[in-house]
Amino acid sequence: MKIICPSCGNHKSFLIPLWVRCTFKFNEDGTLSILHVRQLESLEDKIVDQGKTSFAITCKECGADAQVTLNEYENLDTEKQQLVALEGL
Amino acid sequence: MKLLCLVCGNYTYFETDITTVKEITAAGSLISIDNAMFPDFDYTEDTVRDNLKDIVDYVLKQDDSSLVFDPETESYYNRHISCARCGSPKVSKPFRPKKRIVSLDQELEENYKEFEALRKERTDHENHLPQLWQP
Repeated sequence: MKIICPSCGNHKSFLIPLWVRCTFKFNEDGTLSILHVRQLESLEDKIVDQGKTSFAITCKECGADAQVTLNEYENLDTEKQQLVALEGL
Repeated sequence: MKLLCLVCGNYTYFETDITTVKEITAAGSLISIDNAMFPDFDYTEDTVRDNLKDIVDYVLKQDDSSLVFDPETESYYNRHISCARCGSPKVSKPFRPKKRIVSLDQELEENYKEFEALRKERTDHENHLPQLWQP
């Protein structure tokens, strides 16, 4: 799998938004204390669904939507298959 | 007491769904997910705290609009915050009768002398403005 920013070429750091369930309490002085934070979404699903929703992975450097390639060798495999087919002919 | 669960009476522990941001770091074919760190602050922690404060402040401020009527149970439920003890979404601000009901006119009359004193202390800047045009 490969993640790349098409705008600035960054391929290292990206930001992913996530829904979490937060358990909190009210203190005596009116302030809030966080007791627990539970993730509500699957990170794998979010990465696979990149490009299908607006709630997407963005580049940390420039903020543009990132591009996720799940199988970067897919095109190479296709080229090899085409080459074998041509040789067969 | 700021919020109250109408089912179990809990007024301390609550739950809400908020958004946060994590960082994906890719190194070769390895991908790791951690808190989003910037040079001077932790963006993940900040978003969790800020968004939690925002949603709680919103519910406290707009109590009526955060309540939704459910025709099946014929009761109101909170669409943002639920009780962390019993899980019920029937959470609202506790009813508090107003301590002092004084009309605005009466309040103005009570504070008139104080206002007069304030007016005397006030510096009239409008009398010392530069004159831009003189006939």
